[in-house]
Amino acid sequence: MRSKAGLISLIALLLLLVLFAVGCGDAENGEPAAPEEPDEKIFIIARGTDAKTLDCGYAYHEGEIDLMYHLYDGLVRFKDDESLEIEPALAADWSVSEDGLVWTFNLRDDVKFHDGTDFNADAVEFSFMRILDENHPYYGLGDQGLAYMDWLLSGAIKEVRAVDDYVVEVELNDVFGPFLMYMGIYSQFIVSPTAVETHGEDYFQNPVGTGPFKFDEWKRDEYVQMSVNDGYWGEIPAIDTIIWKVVPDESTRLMELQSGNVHAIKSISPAQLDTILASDDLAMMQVAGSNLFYAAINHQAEPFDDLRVRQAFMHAIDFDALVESVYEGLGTRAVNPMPPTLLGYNHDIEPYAYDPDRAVELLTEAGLPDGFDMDLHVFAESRAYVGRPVDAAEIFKSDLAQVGINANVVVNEWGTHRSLLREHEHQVGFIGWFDVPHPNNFLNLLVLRAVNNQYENPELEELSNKALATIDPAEQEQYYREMQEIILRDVVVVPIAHSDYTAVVLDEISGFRLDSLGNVLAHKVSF
Amino acid sequence: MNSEFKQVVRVYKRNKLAVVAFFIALILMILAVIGPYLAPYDPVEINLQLRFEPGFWEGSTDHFLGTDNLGRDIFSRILYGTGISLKVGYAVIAITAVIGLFIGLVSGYFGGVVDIVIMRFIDILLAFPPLLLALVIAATLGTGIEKAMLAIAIIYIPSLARIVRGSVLTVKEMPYVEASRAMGAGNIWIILGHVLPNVLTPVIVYLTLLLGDAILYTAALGFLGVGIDPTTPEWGAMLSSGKDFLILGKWWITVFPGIMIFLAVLSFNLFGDGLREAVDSKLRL
Repeated sequence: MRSKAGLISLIALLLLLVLFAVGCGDAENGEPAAPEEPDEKIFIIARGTDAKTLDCGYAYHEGEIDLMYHLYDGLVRFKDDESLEIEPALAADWSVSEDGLVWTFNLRDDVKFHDGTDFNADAVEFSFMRILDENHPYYGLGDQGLAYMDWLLSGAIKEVRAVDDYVVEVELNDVFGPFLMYMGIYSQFIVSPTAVETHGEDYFQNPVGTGPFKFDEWKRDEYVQMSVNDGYWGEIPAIDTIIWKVVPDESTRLMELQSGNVHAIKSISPAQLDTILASDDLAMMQVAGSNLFYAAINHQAEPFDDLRVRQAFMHAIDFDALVESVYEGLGTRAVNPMPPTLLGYNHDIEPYAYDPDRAVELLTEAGLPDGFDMDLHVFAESRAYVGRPVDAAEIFKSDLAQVGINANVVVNEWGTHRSLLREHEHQVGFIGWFDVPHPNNFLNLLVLRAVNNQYENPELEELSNKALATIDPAEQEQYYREMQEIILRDVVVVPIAHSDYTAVVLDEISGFRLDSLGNVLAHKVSF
Repeated sequence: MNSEFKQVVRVYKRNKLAVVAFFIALILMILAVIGPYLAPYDPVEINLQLRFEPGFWEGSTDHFLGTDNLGRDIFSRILYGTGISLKVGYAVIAITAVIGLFIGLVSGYFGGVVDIVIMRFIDILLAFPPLLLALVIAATLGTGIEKAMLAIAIIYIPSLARIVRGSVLTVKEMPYVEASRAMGAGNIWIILGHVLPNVLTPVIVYLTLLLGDAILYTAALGFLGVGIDPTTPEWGAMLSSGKDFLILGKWWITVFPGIMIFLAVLSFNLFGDGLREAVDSKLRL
């Protein structure tokens, strides 16, 4: 009859043992079986999320983007520094017609895909048209819900055509400001047409590009393994294999690094900062992120269809204190949807002051003197733009309670959360955005195109279109500054913070980079 | 009846561990009621100026057990949390008892097709790992402590229904049931008057043992962030929000709620165990 008590003691003992084992770092657990050759240099990175597809045409999730920069190349690429300037990659050089509508790219003729087939103008045409042209035989194959190229460029590009073996022309519908920069983004990378034709539906797990690493193996939710492409047209990496290991829990990630099971980890939580900085064996990387953590307002949902309620919301929350507590030095308070490091940021804009009394006044004017009940949706996991989303929600709730708004915090699993916002079942829901560091991607794509807001404003649309139709940076800047004012005044979204991207590597590793898009670049890693 | 009760108490008293457990459980039950009046602070009020304040071990008198990552007083949260955990525990017991008894009685008493259909459905529910089932139900129902109660109750209903059915099968063959039927009693009369009182003993023991488990599952749901509003001072949710800070040496955010879960689960389980032992000895006599 004492068996229950005995069982409990046994379980307690086992739990202690498990804790001990985790603390010591279990090398065998979940480690991919890599060949034990002493000379082989295997570089292991632990990340929080796994990829859902390895097809660059349909990748958009943060677990996928790093991988794209290793498997594939684009026609152009960003320079290996923080300048965000463009340099040649698969295209040796390029020119643009006088009216700004036709871009001609001259391709390298010495590049082969990982499957041995030739890289040429047909492959470029194939890569673009399979996403953009509805009549293409491979259109939509592998679609996981969003083609980033379609999102960025379908309105701009009229046609991509191979005019010679190694010459490609891109014809635009209108002048499009960010065009060349966009060509360096992963969604415009080039896939092997032969591989897409061979693998069909399964291409997403059999990716073939021209990149410095070729795909070996993908165990869902465990790891992706790549090995060096010995025939790479550029500088051949010094490491033989990269393993992108999935370790969802950030404490576990850091422990794996401290115990030497992995060489690098991506995304730390602010809480871990002191520990990392105090360690001599670890090197911390921190890059100002091109991202935004914000609360998406459903403008069709009562009472947020009333501007006064939205403004009251802005006055009710002490954003500075929130960002200080949640990010602890790894983020900046967002005044605007766009990060302050971008072209055209309007530094004259004053954020809404923290003023609960003003919030109550505004609510009273809106006919809600006693406040109201609402659901505040939040996702549970740490993401690139926020480490502890649930803490932020709790602070929102606490601040909102001061002005009589009773917010019920609903924690959702990420997939559920995304579809909930997409279906507009929310009033206010936390979400984030990470994108190309160009104002168009924040002021236009996030604010006007993202489906979470249900917001329309012809005035903003017009300004956005004008900004896109000019190549003159000064003119673009003027339009973008004006847009920021309107977005703030109308409280289109509730910007919270821009998060810094972080990674930590073992001190012995050199050449590891983290770019402003939050991508890990392991091309030049050596140890 | 009185002498039977005395007999149970006498046997229970011999089990010293169970006696200690009984008093801890009693204290917890009292705390659950008066805790909110003892709590020095509002358990959900955030104070970002007072994050990670240590408690009595560093001489703090303002915050006896320190403050958490959002500056909330851990002592107050734990006191409120006692009420929440016990409330969930009792609600789970109530829901399980009512539905489990009903299903078990109907299934056992009527037998035949009804019995087969109900028992196969219960087999299906029993086939799921309990925590997984609770997670699925809680995630489907949405956030709210009441929904978490329902989710946890659903995982216990099948086991209770089985126990009840088993007892009913024995009881309904008893001569006094036959006698009652011969005198013209209806089914409802027989179930309520003869069958139910005679199957209650194992049910009560099972339900006592369930309290500790229910508290543990509530904490598990809170820890996993499913079904429970993270602002609620629920012990499991407190553990979860503090776990990232353990590595920084901010141990008090997790350790105190952890101790409470440990004490509550252990004491209620030992109490239930002792009770079962005592009741069994009575049955043997």
